[in-house]
Amino acid sequence: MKLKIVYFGASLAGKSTNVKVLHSILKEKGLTKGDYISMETDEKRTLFVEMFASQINIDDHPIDIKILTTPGQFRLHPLRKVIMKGVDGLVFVVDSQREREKINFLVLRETAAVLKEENMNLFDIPVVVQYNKRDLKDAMPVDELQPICNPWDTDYIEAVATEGKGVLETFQKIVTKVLVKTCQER
Amino acid sequence: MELDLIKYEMDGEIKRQIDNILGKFMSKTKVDLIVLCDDAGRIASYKGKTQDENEIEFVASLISGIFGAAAEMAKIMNEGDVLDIVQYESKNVNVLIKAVGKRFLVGVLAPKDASLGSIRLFIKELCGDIETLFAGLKLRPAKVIRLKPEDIERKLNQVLGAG
Repeated sequence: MKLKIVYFGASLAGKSTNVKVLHSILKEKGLTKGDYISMETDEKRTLFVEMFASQINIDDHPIDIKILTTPGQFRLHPLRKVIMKGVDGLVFVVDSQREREKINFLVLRETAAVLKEENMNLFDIPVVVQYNKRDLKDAMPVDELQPICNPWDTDYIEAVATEGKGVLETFQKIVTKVLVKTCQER
Repeated sequence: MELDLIKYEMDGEIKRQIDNILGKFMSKTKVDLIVLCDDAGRIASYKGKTQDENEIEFVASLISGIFGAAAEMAKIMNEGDVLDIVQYESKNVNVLIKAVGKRFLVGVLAPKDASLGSIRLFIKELCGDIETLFAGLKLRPAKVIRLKPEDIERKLNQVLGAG
């Protein structure tokens, strides 16, 4: 079984940090396959994709998981479409800072449009919302973020990705959701 | 309620035939690597000098990414346009990516001294053969594991340990 999990969210929300930290956590547990691949600009911003592969075993049944990020900058919209092709599960990384409230919502709307162009519905795909940067002073309360960033009313995780908090929990939650959905469909 | 976690595989005979088609292409063209993958970058089959599956996993992802990005550009420049082949050169390698039907791609990495004309000719033949095969494709369940949703969560927690 091969799964494709994509982390999406606003520019500088912490998608790459999540995936980098997740890679080191899984590598330590011996659950990664190969290296971390990154296509960045000189300013260390994601140009196309950052990704790595993981393999976990459930009852001796190997599950290959590719973990990818989308580029967050708005001008890179066509590349986001490419990354989203054939996605099995999504992690919406939300920047909790009040000043990023609108941009989080715009990203959500744009992602729905991107998926629609690929004949997919954002509401049909398993999603986990991660409220990142919870350590910052101007982080909005989760109660205020929920109506804006979680229209699915799906599970959410509070995180500080730079410190590794909530990173593995988010990943475990999305893989669980994808597997349960996959099973139900069969 | 019990749920089934099933791994589907291509029918063994079709898989063998795809391997044969790729092998035939390799012997005719002397390319370094040929990968057949879907448009999300999942490998269906490959043949090549490198047998490092991790490396080829990433190559497959990039094949789908490069082709997808070029297809987007084609659409922007000419609405309704459909991309068929992407080709580029680096200092040491020629790369060709061709669509196979609507969902699959074949990527070829060839040394600079390989004849691009022959590769393009044989790649067309290969795509035709694969499309014919895919028309009769049957998937079969390779392994069935019976799990309840709560078991999936528990077992993943045992493996990943997020708590």
